[in-house]
Amino acid sequence: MIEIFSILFQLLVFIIIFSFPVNLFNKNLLFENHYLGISDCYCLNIIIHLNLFLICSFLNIDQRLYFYILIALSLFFNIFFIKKYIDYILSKKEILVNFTFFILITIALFGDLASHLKLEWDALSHWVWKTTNFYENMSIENIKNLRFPYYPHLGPYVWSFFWKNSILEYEYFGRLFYVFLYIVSIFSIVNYFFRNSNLNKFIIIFFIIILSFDRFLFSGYQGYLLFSILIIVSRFSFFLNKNFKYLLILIIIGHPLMWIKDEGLFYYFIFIFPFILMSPIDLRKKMFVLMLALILPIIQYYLQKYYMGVFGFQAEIINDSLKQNLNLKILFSKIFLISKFMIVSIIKYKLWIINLLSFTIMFFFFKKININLKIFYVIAFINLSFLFAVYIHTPYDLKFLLTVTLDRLVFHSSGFYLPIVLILLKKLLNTSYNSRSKT
Amino acid sequence: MKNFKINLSLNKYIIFIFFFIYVSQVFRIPYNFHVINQRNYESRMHIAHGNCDKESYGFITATSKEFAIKKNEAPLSLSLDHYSPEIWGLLKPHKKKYNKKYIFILNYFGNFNDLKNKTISMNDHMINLNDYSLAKKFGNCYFWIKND
Repeated sequence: MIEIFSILFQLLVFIIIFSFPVNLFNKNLLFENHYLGISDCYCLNIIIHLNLFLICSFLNIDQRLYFYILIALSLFFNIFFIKKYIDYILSKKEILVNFTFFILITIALFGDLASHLKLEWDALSHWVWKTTNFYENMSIENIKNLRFPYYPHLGPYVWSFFWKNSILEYEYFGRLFYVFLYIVSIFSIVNYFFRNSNLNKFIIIFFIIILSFDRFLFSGYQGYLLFSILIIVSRFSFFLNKNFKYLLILIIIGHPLMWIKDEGLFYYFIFIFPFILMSPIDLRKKMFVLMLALILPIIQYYLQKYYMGVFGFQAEIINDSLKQNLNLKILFSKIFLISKFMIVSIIKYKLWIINLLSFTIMFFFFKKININLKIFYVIAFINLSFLFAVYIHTPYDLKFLLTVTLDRLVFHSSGFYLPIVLILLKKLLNTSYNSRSKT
Repeated sequence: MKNFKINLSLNKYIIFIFFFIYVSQVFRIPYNFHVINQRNYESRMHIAHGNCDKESYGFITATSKEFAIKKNEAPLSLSLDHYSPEIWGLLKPHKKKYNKKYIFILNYFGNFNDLKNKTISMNDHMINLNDYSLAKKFGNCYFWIKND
């Protein structure tokens, strides 16, 4: 019973910490009159805290001390808004039902993770070593002595932070954060498109979770962090590319990607840069934002290479086997093999099937809406090209690598295209509602 | 008309309640929380990482407790015949030093006598098992202590 209580308490800790600093009652300071719900505020706060966690990891700040500071600040801050929160939740039955559903889903997935404690291969092989490094108060410099030291460390840092600052101090309490982020990101994007209809919203959230939930990937892998952050990027991209200030916020949202996994750096370029390049702001400002966006990967390079003492990727960017690709026969056989495994991965992570279907229907039947969503088509094209490029470039055994890694790479970006699915659903539901009302 | 409205909102709530029950069944909330309540963390870890299979979490933790191995010492360990990244990353490894006095050999399916005459490389140490005595055996998992 104590363990169940601790799990519920951990949820309360997440809610308290991630209600600070942005909330429903001060959001207008930053976002003027744009719509933000509770889950949007959680998402923004998680992004802010991820950036702060990153700074803390480099300063070797004691995790327990930082946790107490964070809890004290959040409680002190939220105390001013507690009455407003209660009034807000009780003001409309829909909000109360929505919040109850959020708690129900979170508890469901927390329970699932807590009852299946297995850490899978990559987690045992290297992620958990980095996590215990921080858990045992070892410095960031010690990472160079661990396995795969060049892998970014933000995921393990957060994992160890919530592991250490939980009641029972069991390892999996750290991984509950991954579940929390996953759920708030899905709530955030669905809430944005379906603000008024609770039942539709719940059914859609339920199906997205059914299609994207994979217990295996919660067993110490970092994939869900990338998946969720990319959902947050796509949710906020709808108004954040409109002016200079918002573009800076979009860069901050995308920044943690590059500190989670090697491929996160490429995702940062693929999913953030098109929004900057296609933004309607004037060229001078655009160039300035681009420069700022480029500074972050350069800072990462210098921090990893000269502060942590390691920088690299799994494979050398320029390697000897690249020449092989000049032989068209080899190149086409590689492309064929990658395509085959790509289809298998898409079948495994079914959210992609829904994405591709929505892309096709939108392209052929809703051309008017389609123009506004052009950028998603561009990004999807770059994203798929990136996947092919990664595997054409690899010097390792291609078939083995495709078998063990492609499905995860395919999964990471599957949530980013949810707006296309949701806009299509909204359109279809409205059409059917309108035709019913006419009859 | 008023009755109709009440019925409509009542129906809406019944749909929500059924939906919530359905969701909790799909994600097996009652079952998972029953499991958490009935089996403590250690026994769930045994199920997840094996007693003398998978990563042999059960054998390692029980033996460490039984032989009172100090918390800041890590025994040498090798998983034979079952290639696994091992569980040591989880057992708070960074402040520990390897202690050559204790050895775990896990998941060994070969002949026991062959094992005795072997020199094995473990955690960058070369070990001759003739210098050790078998202190505990469970299934295919072995725990050895160095002879004085």
